[in-house]
Amino acid sequence: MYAIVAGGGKVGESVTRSLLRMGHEVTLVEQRRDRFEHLEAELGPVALAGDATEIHILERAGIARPPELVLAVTGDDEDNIVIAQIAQDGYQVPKVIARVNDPRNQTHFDLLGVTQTVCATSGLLGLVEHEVPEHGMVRLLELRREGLEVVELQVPPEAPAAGKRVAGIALPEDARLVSVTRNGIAELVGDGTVIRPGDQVVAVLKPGVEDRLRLALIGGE
Amino acid sequence: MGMKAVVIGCGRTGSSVATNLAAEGWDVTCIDEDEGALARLGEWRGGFVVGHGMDLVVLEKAEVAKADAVVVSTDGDNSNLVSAQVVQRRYEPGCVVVRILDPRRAAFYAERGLRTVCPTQTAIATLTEVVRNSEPTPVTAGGSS
Repeated sequence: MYAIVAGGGKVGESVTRSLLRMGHEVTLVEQRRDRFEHLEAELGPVALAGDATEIHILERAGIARPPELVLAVTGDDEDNIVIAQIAQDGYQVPKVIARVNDPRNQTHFDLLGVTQTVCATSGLLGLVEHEVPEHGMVRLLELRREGLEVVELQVPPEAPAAGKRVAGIALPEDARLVSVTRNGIAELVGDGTVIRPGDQVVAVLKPGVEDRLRLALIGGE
Repeated sequence: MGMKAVVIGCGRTGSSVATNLAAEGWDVTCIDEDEGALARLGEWRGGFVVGHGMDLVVLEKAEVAKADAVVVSTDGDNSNLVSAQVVQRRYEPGCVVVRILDPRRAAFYAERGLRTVCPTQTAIATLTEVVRNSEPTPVTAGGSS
């Protein structure tokens, strides 16, 4: 596979190393001179000096081939959006992933059609929430393009769903229970599955029905 | 009802566009990260919001949703491109126009429906045209006869 990585900071450099180790062909574009010199010393001709938001630099990096993958991982969100738009709309790159530095800019990425994004801050918060669940529900995954999310809930002892069969629980229409983990063992949910206190339940739902799902499974405040 | 304009980026270009429009009776609000940019507007009766043009809180404060026209002219091509597209899609004002210094990016986004103005391209065309159309400079005899 051929990949262009735009932005040679810590993230770009380490992703490039991983891709190279997997046997892929990579060009890593970095505009800061000192940073580029470091990358060139480490990675040789894989490193390319220049501003990846300039189309002629992207062309020099081989955007017209086009690559199978473009990663826009600079430290500036506006640069990452522009790189991603040029790659996907101008050169039909099949897979473009952009880094969101400031979570407040996430809505801009979504609005402007850059759907595959990674945000370290949100990811970190997600992990923190996973360890310290608020209101008993953790968001595990957001599938933006599909308009779905995957959440996990812990069932407390007095939950309305405790002791009930899944078929007998009044779930919101836009939510499905996927699995139940009990004593470290996960099982896929069928209509006959019984929810027990202490269970960790994974559900798929459409955004907006989180509160109703929480109410149905683990109850009010 | 008067017309309302928001100018994002109050440098040499943005501030002049703002004062031009204000002189023609537009209700103009400027956005700039630097409070000092207000000085470029002289005796200013319009609005001024300190902040970044990609910040939705700042855009709301400038009442972009009520604007008939939005001019984007900061010194950053990429933040201009993001601000202009966000404004166009989110608030759909009648006119969004954005200054882009890089001719390639200006052309790329113009092809995709953004109204871009590229001073670099204008300079290239004008300079070339002036040279093309100039009378050949007469060779003056050096020294005295």
